[in-house]
Amino acid sequence: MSIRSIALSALATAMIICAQPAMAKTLKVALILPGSITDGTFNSAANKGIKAAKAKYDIDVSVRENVDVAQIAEVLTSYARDHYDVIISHGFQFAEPVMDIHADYPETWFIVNTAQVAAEPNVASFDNDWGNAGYIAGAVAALVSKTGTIGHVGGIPVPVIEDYNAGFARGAKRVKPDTKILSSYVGSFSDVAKGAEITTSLIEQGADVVTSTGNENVVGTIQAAEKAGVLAIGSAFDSYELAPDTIVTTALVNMNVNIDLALGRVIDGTLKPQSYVLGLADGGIGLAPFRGRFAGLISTEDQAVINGVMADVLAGKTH
Amino acid sequence: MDQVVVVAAIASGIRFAMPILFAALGETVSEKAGVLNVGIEGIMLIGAFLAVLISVQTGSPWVGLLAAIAGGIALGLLHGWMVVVLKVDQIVSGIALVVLGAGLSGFGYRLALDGGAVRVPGFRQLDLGLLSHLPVVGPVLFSQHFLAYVGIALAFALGFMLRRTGLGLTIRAVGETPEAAAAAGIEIDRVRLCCAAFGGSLAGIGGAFLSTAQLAGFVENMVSGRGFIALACVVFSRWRPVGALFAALAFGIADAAQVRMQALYPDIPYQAFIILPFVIALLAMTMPGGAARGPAQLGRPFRRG
Repeated sequence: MSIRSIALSALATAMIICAQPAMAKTLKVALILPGSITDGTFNSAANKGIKAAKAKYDIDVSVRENVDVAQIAEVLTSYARDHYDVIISHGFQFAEPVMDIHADYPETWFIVNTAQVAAEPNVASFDNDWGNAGYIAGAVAALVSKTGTIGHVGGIPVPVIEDYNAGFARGAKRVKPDTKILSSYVGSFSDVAKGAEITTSLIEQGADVVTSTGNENVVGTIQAAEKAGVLAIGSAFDSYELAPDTIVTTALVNMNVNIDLALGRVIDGTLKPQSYVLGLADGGIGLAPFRGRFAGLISTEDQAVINGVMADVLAGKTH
Repeated sequence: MDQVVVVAAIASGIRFAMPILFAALGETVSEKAGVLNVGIEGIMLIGAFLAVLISVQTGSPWVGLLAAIAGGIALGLLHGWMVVVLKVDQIVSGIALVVLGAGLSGFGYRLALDGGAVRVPGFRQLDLGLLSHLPVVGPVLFSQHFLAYVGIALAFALGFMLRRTGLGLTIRAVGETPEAAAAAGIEIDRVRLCCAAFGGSLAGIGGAFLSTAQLAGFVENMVSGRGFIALACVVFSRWRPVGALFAALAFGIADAAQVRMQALYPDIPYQAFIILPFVIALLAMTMPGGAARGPAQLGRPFRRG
């Protein structure tokens, strides 16, 4: 055997070893985030979820923050080339690039959050029922509003935020049909100052309960509500501590549940290339408790109405 | 839109305008001396972060403001040192500053405040009692943040300084004909360094206004392009501080108006409103009335002949 052929066969052996399916070894998981883990909402929730998963499962985790649209393909392929077993991308904007490249990396599971896509053999998606989260928020907002005007401030109208917004209006109308619903968009996920000023403008137009969806812009809404002395309904991430006298409750969107479910299913081999929508029954959405001064603010009748709303959400009777 | 909405939009527009105004005023002085700093976005982020960090630690937004000014001066001097002493390309150094500011402020925030929400003792809006409650003029003129009045006064003061004083003449000479100024005994590089530091300090105040007056808290990338809009204001105002005041106000009020129109006309796609301030800025740039000519030596390092 020449040196060359020895080298070649060694290389071939090495490649076979590397290509072996990675069983019973620590799972390599990548989480790709569109924003920063300190945003207090969307990306914080995912980070919290992956931290919990890390404690629960035998996984190695790499978190990549602030991936903008132009970088998505590059980041996805670089993880896939590094033989990551699971790549969780957090946001609907990842769906298209994932569909473009997934076939080249059949060893890797691509999981997309807040989107509804799937492809054989290795793309699955986990979406939360944002529409019903908004529905619950709208119902509570209409109940606690005195002026009968409530407002929603969205970051950018991406699908989940539009779903939430539409649900917010439906939920409010269900509880009090003559509720006036105002809606505005910041046009940015990070412009807190504009989020605050938009909220102030809705309050000037009579809104006394506001809610907000997005990333950092949500902080602006909560601060503006606190300053003006009106109420806010939190969205997605329980941020009660941020303003305990302002945040009545939070319509939870538990994105940590997505991550936990996805990884659990990868590990026990039950994950299928399909899209999973997590509603109230799966714990994908929920309602935070009424705490502090709001525990006493909700009357028995109000609580009965809220219970009715939750029952309808469970039964899927909200459209 | 009724009167209440219009008044509220103007009051809110002034708040929108202030961070941009401070940054634009500093940049005007810096550019007048020939130092172009496209990195004010980064300096504003550092200012916003330091103001929050130090006011949380000391309990006083004023100390926080001082910290923001100090941070602004430090970064302004860094840029000055790069472009005046080392004669690095000004655009390149400026862009580096944008990235540096974004990175340092975000990293510092996680390091020092754990990236979490903190209670920030921010500036209060002025309450002049009766005056603040006057209809129309009350909300617009008499219930802004103290810093807003400082900003407006500063615009006029800087306008006077640049036009009518010896110091202004020196700065303009350094930016227009540095050879002549050097022949007259002016230390070109020293003046440029000072102006770059001054520009940095005002950008720092702009950031502090955002994080401790308009809001109370820091989030990553919260400046959201205001530093670049400030750059546009400088050109738009033809390098005149009072012009920069009106440019910033026009931009701020347009932004505040579009925010309100979105909720008033839900049937029109919201994007049409969001672009409104930018359309106004673009139109203003193309308005006739004298070609926009900046200081002759803007962006060029001075080399002794």
